[in-house]
Amino acid sequence: MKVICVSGGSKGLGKGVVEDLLRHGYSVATYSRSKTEFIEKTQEAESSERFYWESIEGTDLEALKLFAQKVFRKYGQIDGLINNVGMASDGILTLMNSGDIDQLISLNLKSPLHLTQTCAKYMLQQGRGIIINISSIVGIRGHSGVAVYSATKSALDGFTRSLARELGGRNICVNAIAPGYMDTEMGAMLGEAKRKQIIRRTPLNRLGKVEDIVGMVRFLLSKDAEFITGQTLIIDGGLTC
Amino acid sequence: MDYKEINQTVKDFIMQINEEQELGISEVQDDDSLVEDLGFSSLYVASLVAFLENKLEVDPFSTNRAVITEMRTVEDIAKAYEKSLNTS
Ligand SMILES: NC(=O)c1ccc[n+]([C@@H]2O[C@H](COP(=O)([O-])OP(=O)(O)OC[C@H]3O[C@@H](n4cnc5c(N)ncnc54)[C@H](OP(=O)(O)O)[C@@H]3O)[C@@H](O)[C@H]2O)c1
Repeated sequence: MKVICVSGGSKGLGKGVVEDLLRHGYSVATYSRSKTEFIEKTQEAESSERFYWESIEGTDLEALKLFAQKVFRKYGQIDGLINNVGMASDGILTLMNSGDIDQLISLNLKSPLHLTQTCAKYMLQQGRGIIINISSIVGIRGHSGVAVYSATKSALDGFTRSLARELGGRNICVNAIAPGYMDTEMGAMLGEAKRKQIIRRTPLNRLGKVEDIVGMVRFLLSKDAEFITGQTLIIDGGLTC
Repeated sequence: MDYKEINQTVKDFIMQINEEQELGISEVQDDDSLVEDLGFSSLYVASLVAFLENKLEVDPFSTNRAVITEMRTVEDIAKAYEKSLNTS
């Protein structure tokens, strides 16, 4: 059975990915800060061979390393890593305080970099692995009010490309998925006017849904995608086209 | 773990990479150069270090105790881990 680590799997997109992977026969290890009803129910429904969850603050780099170590020791393998954890913050750069800037960089960038470093060591040893970074369309096109968030997501795309070159020789694929605006807790931060504006500009006339993204995650984990690496795949209903 | 076992662990993983990457190595000697004799790329060296870190639970290169670019031969690697294990 394949073992996939998913960061931030308690709600939103991470929850959707965890549910989908469990349904398709993967074992899943995930973390978040709080134990949601979804995590509780999944722990009750699944054996510990299939599902593992831990409460971790994603900016605690040592805790992330221990998490990956624990997963590898428990399952004996890490086949895939989905770097999904992330937060957004809304506001003009000049009005942001430096603590908020640092927090965004820590969670959206440093945290996936460090978790990837530990997981990639196991993948190098295995001679196989799949890494998927969840970035965003705002890392590709400019959007006012999200400059720091954009910076972290563009950085993840750059990380994806160079890491794909670095690890390809050991059969490790690294890709990014850039969703458009989705109807999650994070997406709910959009005001009504902005929401309408985005829908108007989207050829497919709606916001994204978690289900629009999970299929691509599963595809990238599958054998059918074994020759795809170093790419950022945009799923946004055509907003950026 | 004594030096002999460490040395064998290093050689076993080199042979594992040899098989996976089809490098055509028939035997690993102590004084074989990883790059010149065994055809190891920096990625294979990184894979060897990752494997040893997991197996021996030490990483001599993370603490500046040893410098990875100075590791030329199989013996250099095995000795770096022996030293690290003895002082940890
Ligand atoms: N929603 C969108 O419109 C959108 C668009 C493009 C890209 N994305 C990206 O998609 C990914 C998922 O977003 P989402 O909308 O699903 O977000 P979400 O609904 O806010 O979920 C985020 C997940 O990460 C966990 N998390 C957040 N902060 C954490 C921390 N400090 N430490 C540990 N875990 C933490 C959350 O659990 P806890 O709160 O319990 O810790 C939750 O499980 C993010 O990388 C986001 O940037 C989202």
